[in-house]
This record gives sequence, structure tokens and C-alpha cells, in this order.
Amino acid sequence: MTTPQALLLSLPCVPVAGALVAGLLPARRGRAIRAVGWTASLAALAVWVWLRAVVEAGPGPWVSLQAPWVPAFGISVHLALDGTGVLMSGLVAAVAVAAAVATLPFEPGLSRVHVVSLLLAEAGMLGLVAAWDLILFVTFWEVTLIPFYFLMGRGPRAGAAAATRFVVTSVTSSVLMWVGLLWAVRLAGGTPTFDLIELSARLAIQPEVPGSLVLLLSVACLVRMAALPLHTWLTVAVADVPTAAAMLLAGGVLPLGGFGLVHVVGRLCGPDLGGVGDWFMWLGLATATGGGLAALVQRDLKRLLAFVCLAQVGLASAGLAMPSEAARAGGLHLLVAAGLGGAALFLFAGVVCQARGSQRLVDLAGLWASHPFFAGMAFAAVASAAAVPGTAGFVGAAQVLQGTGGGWLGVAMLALALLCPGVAVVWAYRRVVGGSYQGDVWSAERWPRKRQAVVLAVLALAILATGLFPALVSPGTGQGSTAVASADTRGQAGEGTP
Amino acid sequence: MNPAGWQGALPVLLVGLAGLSLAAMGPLLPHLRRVALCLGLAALLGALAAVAVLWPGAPETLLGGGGLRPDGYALFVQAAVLLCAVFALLFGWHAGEDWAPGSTGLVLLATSGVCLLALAVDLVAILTGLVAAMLPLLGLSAASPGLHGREAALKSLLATTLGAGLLGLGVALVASQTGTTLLSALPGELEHLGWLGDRPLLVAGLALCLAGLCVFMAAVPFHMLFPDAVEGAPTPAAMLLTGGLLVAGLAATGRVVLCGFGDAVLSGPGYLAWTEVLHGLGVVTILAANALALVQRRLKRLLACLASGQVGLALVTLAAAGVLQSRSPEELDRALGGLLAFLAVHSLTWVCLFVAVGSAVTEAGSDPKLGHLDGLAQRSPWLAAAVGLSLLCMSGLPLTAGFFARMYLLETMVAAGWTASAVAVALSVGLVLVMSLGLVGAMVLRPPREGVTVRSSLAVSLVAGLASLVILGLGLLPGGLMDLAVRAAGSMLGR
Repeated sequence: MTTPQALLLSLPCVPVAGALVAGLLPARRGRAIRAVGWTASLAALAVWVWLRAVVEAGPGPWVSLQAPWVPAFGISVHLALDGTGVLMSGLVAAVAVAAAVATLPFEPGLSRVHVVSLLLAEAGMLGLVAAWDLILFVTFWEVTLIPFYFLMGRGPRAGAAAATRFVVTSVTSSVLMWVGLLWAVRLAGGTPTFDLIELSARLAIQPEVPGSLVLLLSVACLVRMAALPLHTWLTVAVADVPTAAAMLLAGGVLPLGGFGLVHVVGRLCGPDLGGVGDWFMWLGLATATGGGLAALVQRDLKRLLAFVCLAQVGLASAGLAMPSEAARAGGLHLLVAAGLGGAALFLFAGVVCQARGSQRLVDLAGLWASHPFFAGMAFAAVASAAAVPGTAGFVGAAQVLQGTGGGWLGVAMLALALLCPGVAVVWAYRRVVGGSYQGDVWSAERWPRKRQAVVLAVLALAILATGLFPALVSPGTGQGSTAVASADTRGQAGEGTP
Repeated sequence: MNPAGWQGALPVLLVGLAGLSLAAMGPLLPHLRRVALCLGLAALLGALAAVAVLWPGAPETLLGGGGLRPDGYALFVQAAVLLCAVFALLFGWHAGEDWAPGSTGLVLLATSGVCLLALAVDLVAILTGLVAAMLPLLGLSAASPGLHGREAALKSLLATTLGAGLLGLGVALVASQTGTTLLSALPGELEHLGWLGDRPLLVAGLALCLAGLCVFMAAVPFHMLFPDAVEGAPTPAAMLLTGGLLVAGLAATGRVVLCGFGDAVLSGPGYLAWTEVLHGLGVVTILAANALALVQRRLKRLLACLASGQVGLALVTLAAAGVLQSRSPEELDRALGGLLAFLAVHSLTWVCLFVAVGSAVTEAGSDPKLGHLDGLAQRSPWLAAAVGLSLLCMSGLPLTAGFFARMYLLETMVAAGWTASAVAVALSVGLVLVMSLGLVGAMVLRPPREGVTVRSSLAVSLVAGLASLVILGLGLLPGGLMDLAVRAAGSMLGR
């Protein structure tokens, strides 16, 4: 096993090992459990940085590891990362570190279950990104639900209801994906295999992929992306769950829904998503517009931010479904922007709402006067959500705009989708940081803690860096070329078939 | 009996004779309860060893006038059922003084009946096996203290009478029209008769056979008595009902439809193919049983409804296997192998769940309800882990044995071209997962409920621990079980 392969394997295993250690520690050793939590997250990020340093970019997977699992049924443990995978795993590792470092020491009523769930959720998401066998992909996709259920179920208000709603929608969609995958394997023919590369190659020579198969495969991704009308879990979830869970949901789960669309549906069905790419583009635009309009009328800070994230991810999914290469690159860029921005916004909102004891916008004011550094750092995330030039959100939105199809209606919807959440988030930010600060209604304890401010600053820097140097989040070669090749082959096969 | 092949019946004989002796001597020697349990366990382990030695079976050997065949299929099912019985007796050890004298013998007798059912390749033998398995279970319920037990025994008796009546009538009609009850001879006779539209009595006979089997399988609309029978039965009897009888009954149904009905029965203008009938029945059973499970508040009833749902899933798969029968032998082997693996996992899951339910004792002595699982992780973490794992396994969550078992069944449906049914089934499975996750959440996140104690013991820990290990092990390395199951399926199909 080479060094990159060992690092690839370690990526999901390090958080699992941390979860095991934390789970075996006595419940009364809260300090040690928390320390294990953030140390394991940091270790996973360190593994990713090391991997990124040693791995060489190229067409197809940059690093790959394959071992048989159930050979008789064509199931293997195939882990790999291509350019997009490296990008998304870095995002997940970074957001998990932010969630662990910024919230674990300060979360009230924190228990061992919380830390273990946090680490297992991170491991599940990292495994999901690295899975190139569809059974392995479904395994990580579904197993991730369990830690999220426990993370969300401990929420301050209606966490259990939010967790149940999340699980119901996720399970419903993932079982459909399960059937879709079995159908795809059947359609591909030959010796059964669940290997993504092999299956993509076999499906590429099929004259066409049925639309209902695309729907079955993609509905799970759309639920995770909270696309309309499957978005109802998101606003309840992020508003009523602990800050760490909200950060992971906005910074990990939502972007990974988009990643699933690219990684599985895009590969199996081609870049035009089996001929229904236009439908997905309109759905993405509708989600972005609807999310933006809904954000405008919210009076609860976390709900407003949830709709803003929804709009940004909707825009990303529209970009991913467009035929143009530029739009797809923009979609990926927007996913990263949404992940980093969502994590930063929910960290900011979590700290502020906990200090004030309320999430209502009318109760929040005067942060610029009392905590200028913290409020200033949050502005980077706000600016990215509003697609202000120089931020990650701007680069992605510009690329999507460049590749927009659908004529004037598409451009108009895109403009609305950019404008509404931008206005909403800037208005909310102005409401929270402006005005006079009434110290007696805020928590008497020191807030934000230094560690929280530093994490927010790092996230803000990342948002600015990815905006100023877009090449940092370029997926590199591999994804686009593979997909286009598969589409070309399908076209030729279609012409040759009587 | 063929003297050269009598060894094939060794597991049944061993368990049956031990059961008869212990049932007869049990009431005479009530103070030797533990000795009886040890003897019973020894007989079961001996039978398991016999199954291992006999593997991969002798498909060409016929016993009991050609009505029994000790092939790999029968041995696979017998192994699953014998394991279930071992766990049931271990739980009997845990039950202490509540374990009535003679109960060990009844458990063994029921097990031998179920093992006989697994061997049966003749409609009359199948009927005999079903009744031989049900009657001792009915006795176990009647012997348990309280009104619930007697009510369960009465309802089990009703179900047995109804099922045996329908199946018996069906067998009589089939025999009168074709002159045989042997499953191996039936397809030839049916083919010889040609289109069955002119023979309504034969069609009615075949339909009654299916209906009779469905009564024993608790398929909708014959499911009404099953939750009551399970709820009132003592825990080991409930384990054998769900993890033993249902498993062997479904395996026997597989033999009947795939070996006996072939691919020419009930088809033609105005008639439905048996695959279509079974398909519809299975889908309705899954949806109705899981919907009923949603509204249950008592744990045993909930588990009974979920078991009915699993039966529906198996019936749809059998129907899909029937469609594949005429297409590809490899696909049929794989489909039937998947079903066998599913049944084995199913048996283990129900054992683990009933152990947990049987261990939760309310101070008022009432049956445990859903809320009684609250905070189980704080009171008995290992038992809670085992229950959680079993629930998630039943819902087909990855990394548990249930995931692969469910995947093979869905794959069979997709292979048969029944994608819409696969979607309906998958959604229903998702519903079970949500329900299971809710229960797991209650065990972990909620504080313990007052008035409920968990009686744990070495036997309970052993059963729960072993079952959990197997569930996890098969979830990570399912290849071995699938290989065995596919070989067993091939053996039944004469390959």
C-alpha cells in the first residue's frame, strides 16, 4: 500500500477511531471526551492536508484503493478521490474541525453521545466522498443518518422532531436510490458489478438511460440538497438543533447532496443527466428563487440563514445540471462557497443566539458596538452569500451565470435567485450588528470565546481566499472529461442501434 | 424409508425423540428443570452437528415414501431453525421458575415439527409438518400463567384449524385431479392436463393450498390472529413462531410454488398466474402489516406486525423468483439464495428482539409497551446495543446482515422487472427504518421509565451478544452465508 493509499484509507478511519476512544471513556470524563473529539477532527484534517500534498493530479481518480468485499456479487471496497473528491473531502474535514473546535468546549449539556455522533458523522461524510463502489456509497449515505439523528435529537427546542423529519425524508429518498442503483446494475448487463467506473462505462454504451431511473437515483441527492419541494426538513433542522449539528448540516450535508448528483448521477447517466438535465436546472433555479424569497420574510435568524443556504445550494444544483462546462465548474464552486459560508453563518448565529437566549431578529442588535471583530469576520460569509465580488460566492455565481441556458427566463430567475437571498442576509446582518447594544439582556458570561472567534476568522479567510484565487477550488482534470466522454460514447451507441 | 438414506432424518429424529421423552417426563420431575434444559440443549446441538455433517445434503435421497428430501435447502433451513431453538431454550434458562415443567419438551417437539416441514417435498408432509409444529407451540402458550397465554393458545388453535382445513381441502382437490401430492410429480401432471381453465376444481385446489399456507404465514388477509398469538405466547414460543415456523413455512412455500406449481399453473384467459397472485398478496401484506405496526403501542404486537411485513417481502421475492424461473437458472439460484439468507437473518433478528422484550419486566406484570424501552441504554447498555442492532438489521441498515439480505430481495424484484413493486417495498422498508430509529433514539436519548426493570442474566447476555456478533459479522462479511444459501437453493432446484 502506497502512502497516498494509506492516507486515503485513514481519512474516514481516523474519526471512527476517535469515536471509539471517546465512546470507551467514562461518561464523567467530559473534558477528555471533548479533547478526543476535536483532536480526532484535527487529525482527519491533517491527514487530508498530507494527502493533498502527496497526491498527483491527473485524469480520473488521483488516488485509488480497491479490495474485494463480496466478489461473487461484484461488490468491492473501492475508495478513490478525484479532483472533485479531494475538494469535497477537504471541505468536510474543515467544516468538521470548525464544528468540533468552536462548539465542543462550550456546548451546554454536552454528552459522550454528542461527541461520538459528531465524529461518526464526519467519518460517514468522508467515506461517502471517497466511495467509488455504489454499495459502499449507499452504506455511507445511510449510515451517516444515525449519528445525525443523535446529533440533532439533542437540540434545544424541537430537536427530536427535526431529527425525525430529517430521517424520514432522507430514508425515503435513499431507499429509492437503492432501487435505482439495482436497476442501473441490471440495465448495464454483464457480470454484476457495483464499481462506479465499470458501471459508468457499461451504461455509456447503452442507447439511453430511462428518465425514471435518473429520478430514482437523484431524488436522494435532491433531498439532501433540500431542493424544492423536498426542503421542509432543513429549516426546522438547522433552527432547532445544536450549533455543531447545524454547521455540519449546512457545511457538509447540503454540499454533499450536490456532490452525490455529480458523483453518482452525473457519472452513471452522463452530464446531461439522462436527458433530464434541463428539468434539474429549472428545479435548481426554482429552489434558489424560492429560498431567496422565503428568506426575505423570515423573522428568525437561523431560519433566515437556512433559506439563504438553500438558495445558494439551489443555484449550485442548477449550475451542475447545465450542459456548459463553465456552469458545472461554477456549481461546484458554489457548493464549496455554500459549505464554508453556511458553517460560518451558523457558527455566528449559534454563538449570538446562545448569548442572547433568543433567535428572533428583533431581539438581536448592536454587535458592531460590542464585538466588532466577531461581527466583522461574519461579514465575509454574508458577502459570499450575497455574491459580492472577491468572495467564493461571487466566483461560483458568475460562472453559473456565464453558462446559463433557458433564455431570458433563466437569466431572470438566476438574477432573482441571487438578489433575494443577498438582500435578506445583508438586511439581517445589518439588523444584528447595527443599532445600540443593551448589555443587560445579553449573557453575562464572556462571549464569543477566543477559540470561536479564531475559527470564524479562519472560515472568513477561506471564503475570501477561494474568492480571490478560484484555482484553489478547481476540481482539476477528471470529472468533466469523464462525463463528456461517456455522453459521446452513448451518442455513438445510440446512432448505431437500430 | 430408504435404509441407505435414513441419516437425512437424523436431526428430526434426534430432536423429536428427545422432545417426546422430556415432554412426558417433565411434569413428573418438576425439580429437574435445569437437567431437562441441559438435555434439550444437548439434543439441539447434536442435531446441529448432524446438519453440519450431512451438508451439502443428498438431493437424490427420498425418505418417508418420497415425501421427505434431505437436500441442502432443507439442511440450511433446519440449521437456522435449530439455532433459533437453542436461543429459545437459553432464554428458558433465564426465565427461572416461570419455565413450566415440560416446556423444554414442547420446544423440542415444535422444533422437530418445523424441521420436518423443511424436509417436506409432498403436500401431505407439509401439512403434517405445519400442524406438528403448531400444536406444541399452542401447548406452550396454554401452559403459561395468565389469561393472555390461554387466549393466545385459543387463537393459535383457531389459526391452525383454519390453515390446516384450507390446506387439507386444497391437497385433497389436487390429489383427486392429478392423482399425486408429490411436488416433483405435480408439474408433469399439470403439463399433461394442459390448460387449466376447464378444470376449476384443480384451480380451486391450488388456490386453497396457497391460502392455507398463507394462514400459517400470517399473510394479509389471514394475519388477524397472529399478533394475538404472539403477544400471549411465552417468549421462547414467540421466538419459535416468528424465527422458526415462519422461516420454515416460507421455505416450504418456496418449494410448493417453485417445484410444484412450475410455470404453467393458473395462467390463461380469465385466470391469474400464481406469481401474480403471490406478488399482489405480498405487496398488500408488506404495506398493511407495516402500517398496522405504526399504530401499535405494545412491543410484542409491534414485533408481530413487523414479522408479517417481512413475510410479505419474502412472498413478493418468491413470486419474482417464479418469474425468473423461466428465464435464467443462475438468476433463480441467486434469487432463492438471497431469500434463504434473508430468512436466516430474519430468524436471528427476531430471537434477539424477543429476548429483549422478554427481559423487560413491568412491576405491574403487564406486557411491555413501547415507552418501556425508554432509557434502556442507561440501565442495560449491552442489551440496548443488541436491540438497536437487531432493529436496524431488520430495517436493512448497512453494516448489518439485514442490508445485504434486503438488497438481494430487491435485486430479485428488479431482475423480474417489478421496479414499481421494488419501490413500494423499499418505501415500506424505509418506514420500518424510521420506526426502528425512533425506538433506538428513545433507548438512548430518553430517561429510563419508572416501574420497569430489566432482568438481565448470563443467558440473556449470551443470546443477545451472540446474535449481535453474528448480525454485525454477516453485515461486514456476507459472502460466506450467501455462498451457502446459493448452494442450498441450487440443491433444491436439482442443480
